[in-house]
Amino acid sequence: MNKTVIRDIILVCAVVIIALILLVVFNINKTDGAVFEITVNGESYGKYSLFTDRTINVGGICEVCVSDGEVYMKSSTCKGGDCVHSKPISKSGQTIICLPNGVVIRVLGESEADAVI
Amino acid sequence: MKKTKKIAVTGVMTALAMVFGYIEFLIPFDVIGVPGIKPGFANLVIMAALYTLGLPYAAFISVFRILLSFLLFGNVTSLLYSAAGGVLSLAVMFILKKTNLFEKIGVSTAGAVAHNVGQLTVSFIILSAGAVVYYLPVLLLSAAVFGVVNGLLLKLILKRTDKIFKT
Repeated sequence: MNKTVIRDIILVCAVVIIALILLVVFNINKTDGAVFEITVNGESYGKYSLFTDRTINVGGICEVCVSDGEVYMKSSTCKGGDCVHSKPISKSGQTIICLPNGVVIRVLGESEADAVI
Repeated sequence: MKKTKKIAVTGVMTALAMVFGYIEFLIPFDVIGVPGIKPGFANLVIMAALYTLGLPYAAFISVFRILLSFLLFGNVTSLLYSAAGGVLSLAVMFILKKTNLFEKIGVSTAGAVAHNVGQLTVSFIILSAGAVVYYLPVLLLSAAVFGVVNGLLLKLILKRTDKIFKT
């Protein structure tokens, strides 16, 4: 086989291996979360419990819904709707991100989960 | 190839890149519950230009695709994302191609990785949220998959369009 082809294979494999290592590292400390935080353009909008079912209207730009210990984006004014298509999240560190509106929903770890609304 | 022909071909390829970008916008590829993953077929056109016409023409197509998409469908945020991804990926692909160390698949994969890293960096700055880093593994995997697919497609495309670019 050509040397350049071998380098191609090495490059692709390296990318895949790095991705898998990161995936393992990010998932190793994942536990069931109790609290999640909503931030809008980097500023905290509020912290909420995962165990109180409700729908939170975030400044008229999107609706965040909590149900059965999971949180998901119910509706959003953004064009693509990627955030609405994201799976519900419940484990610490998991996020749903709406890039166009700058909204981030993140389930907090135990150490960060204080002052719940 | 004559310069006038090069310019005409560049125009056609800009239009083609825009169409590919728009098709991707219409079809959401939200497999495995992670949204925002795109195959990057517009990059195919830019890579084809890079291999046949040269860097200035590829850069022209990339810049005008981004600007025109911004004027037609986008907003300032989407412009920032596409510009960061587009510039970084073209720079990486140009350098890797220049070194002659890699085939088209390697160049295409590196370009896809650079594109995703560029966009992730912008989202990190805009949202000032370290949480976006959790998307990195999925973005890298998709870059590997679509990088290989696009590299193979590029090989076929260049073979079939050889005549157009030779004369």
